[in-house]
Amino acid sequence: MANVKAAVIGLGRIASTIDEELGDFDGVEFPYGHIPCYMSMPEVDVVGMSDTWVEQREAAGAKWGFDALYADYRQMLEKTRPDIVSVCTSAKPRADILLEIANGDYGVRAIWAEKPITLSLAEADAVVDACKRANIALGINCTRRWRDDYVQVKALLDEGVIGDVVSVDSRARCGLSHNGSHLITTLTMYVPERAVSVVGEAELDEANPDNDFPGVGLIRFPGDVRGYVRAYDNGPNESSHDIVGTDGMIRIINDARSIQIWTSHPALDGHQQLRERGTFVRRHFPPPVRRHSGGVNAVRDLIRCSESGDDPRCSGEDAREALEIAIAIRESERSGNQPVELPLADRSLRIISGEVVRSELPRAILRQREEAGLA
Amino acid sequence: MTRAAVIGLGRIASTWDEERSKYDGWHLPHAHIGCMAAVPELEIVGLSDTWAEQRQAARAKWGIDDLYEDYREMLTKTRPQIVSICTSMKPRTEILLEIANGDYGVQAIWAEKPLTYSLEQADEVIAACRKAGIHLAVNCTHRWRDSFTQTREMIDDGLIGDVIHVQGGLNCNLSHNGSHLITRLTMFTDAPVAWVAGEAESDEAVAGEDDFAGTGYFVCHNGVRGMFRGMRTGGLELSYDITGTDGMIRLMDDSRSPELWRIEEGMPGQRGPGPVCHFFRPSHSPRAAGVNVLYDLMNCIETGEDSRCTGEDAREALEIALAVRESHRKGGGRVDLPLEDRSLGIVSREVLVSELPRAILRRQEAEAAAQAGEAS
Repeated sequence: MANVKAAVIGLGRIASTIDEELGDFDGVEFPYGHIPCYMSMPEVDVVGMSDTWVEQREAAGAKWGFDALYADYRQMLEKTRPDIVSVCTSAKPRADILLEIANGDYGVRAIWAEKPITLSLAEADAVVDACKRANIALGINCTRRWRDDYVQVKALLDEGVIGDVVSVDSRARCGLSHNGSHLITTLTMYVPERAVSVVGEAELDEANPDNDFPGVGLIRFPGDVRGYVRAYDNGPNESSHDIVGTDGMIRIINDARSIQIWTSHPALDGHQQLRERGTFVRRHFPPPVRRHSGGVNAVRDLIRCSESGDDPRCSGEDAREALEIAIAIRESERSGNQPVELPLADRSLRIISGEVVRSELPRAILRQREEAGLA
Repeated sequence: MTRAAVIGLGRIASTWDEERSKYDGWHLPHAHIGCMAAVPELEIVGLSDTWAEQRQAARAKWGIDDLYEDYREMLTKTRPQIVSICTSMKPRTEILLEIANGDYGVQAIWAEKPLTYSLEQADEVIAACRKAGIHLAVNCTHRWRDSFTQTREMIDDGLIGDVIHVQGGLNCNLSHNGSHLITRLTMFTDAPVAWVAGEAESDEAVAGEDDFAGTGYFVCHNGVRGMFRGMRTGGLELSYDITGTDGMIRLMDDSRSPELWRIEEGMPGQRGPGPVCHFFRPSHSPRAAGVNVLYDLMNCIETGEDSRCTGEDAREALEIALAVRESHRKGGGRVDLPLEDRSLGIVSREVLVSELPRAILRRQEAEAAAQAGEAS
């Protein structure tokens, strides 16, 4: 069986260099960047890399010993005919690139795109529709949806270890579009249905009303399930998630460097029965037996979905929902913290993701210039 | 000696401690009379209840003969400095106002929660007690519980930086045990609540004025946020997080398992600082919460300071609960405090359960169960 052909558009930090920033004991599985993930997989051949910035092409060529470099991604797609394409540019050109891949006749079967999916809801709608029409499996790189520890939590929930999920609280200081994509899709991965309404508050920059922002959202899902997303400061409770069930709770601490499982247990003799079913006990979290990095899992999931027609673990619809929840939080703030129903009627609403607000430069170049005192 | 009296001789006044299991984690005594009896500086001068059964049971349990059917007569004859009000919520306002407006020489009141049915009653009680120079402590117990007061001290000592978020869960109705839940959080927030967004258990539950379960998000004037769940708490039942800029105190299982988290330098190979969990060192001199209430009130009498759960604190809890209801009725959005309509009220859960005092109800239920057992 022939190897899967992969190509990468945008050769900056998340494509190439992010692994260099992480320590040996940081708790994040390597490889993390798109290119090293592909390079680590024997069933994948990287056939092309493209970037409009010559500095990025040269750096990637040198780092990976790779010559098939292109300034124009269209040319790369035509010449290399990849099965899977990573879209690692900033959010600004992403929608155009995704639509070009979906609507062009490049033979692409799967896309692994960075988050957020797009700036506006209308763009997200167009991208999701175009990929569906073209039978392209679209995965948005909200990494935790493919990380073994987060996936195992989901498996335990599906096994019913804490009963029915009634609420998910997710906390991380961030802009709600940029890293908020991670935060919100992690929350929603533990809820089986789409959000129906949001009450929120947000710290908005009224001079730049579309800019990314931190905020808080009270998210209502069908039935009794509720979400609480807090993207303000969280002290040591940063990057944590409490998934609360009728019979227990799974507590993800410090981005899953520690995970606790609390389950119902009959009260011991002489102990108070807190409720009808006894009390709670804390169990150790059994680590996954087989571990791969989130990125490697994402690629394998996308390859599988491109063959089976299944949705990837973070589909375009999932990422669009995250963007829609973030926008609803802003609209709730603007309406005096009143509830906002989903889906939003105005599809032109958008958020200029934090990475775009920060600089027009690619992040890797920005870092280099900052380190050289040039930015 | 400080002279103390009790009005209402039921469960929370007298028999509550009997329900505890051996390893409950509660520090007894908890009931009012038991606490008063445990404080050597206090002398119990009178007990009153309109129910003869309650008076007889209290006499038998505590060996006290100074029993009265009419609390006014008791107050006139015994002139207590501290009075506990342990009736159900229904007559509480009237009794509080009688004590505050009468000339009984009372200096401090230890009243059960919730403070009153309505906001205007709460306004009136608070104003009357302030006018009479009476210190009012509303028995939202955790405000005097060692683990919670130690948490407060650790915050004051700067161990977690500035408080930014508080969170807690307790399956309850928001006026009755919700008084506990909400005051447990507001004891760490240091500023009045500016607005609330909330949800109740159902539309039907908040169609009238009966107590209800609900969830609320609140924002304080100083920027501190809070989240409390009075329903569907699951594994978060009786769990509280007080989060600061530099640390967090997590009180699991009603503070039987407290943790102190701080942001500290990571180990080699880790990227920057991260959360570190410290052991939570308990107090050197643990004492029952109710006993702490009494020492707090004696201190208030001496110094003029406010108690750890004032009438204003308890009124705010009621107001937050009402705001949850109003928010639910309007679709879940923001409701600003203070509420303009002061006639709003909640009929507390304890009143809804039965018109009978809880201790009598429990005895009747136990007797009925015993008879049913014999019959079978």
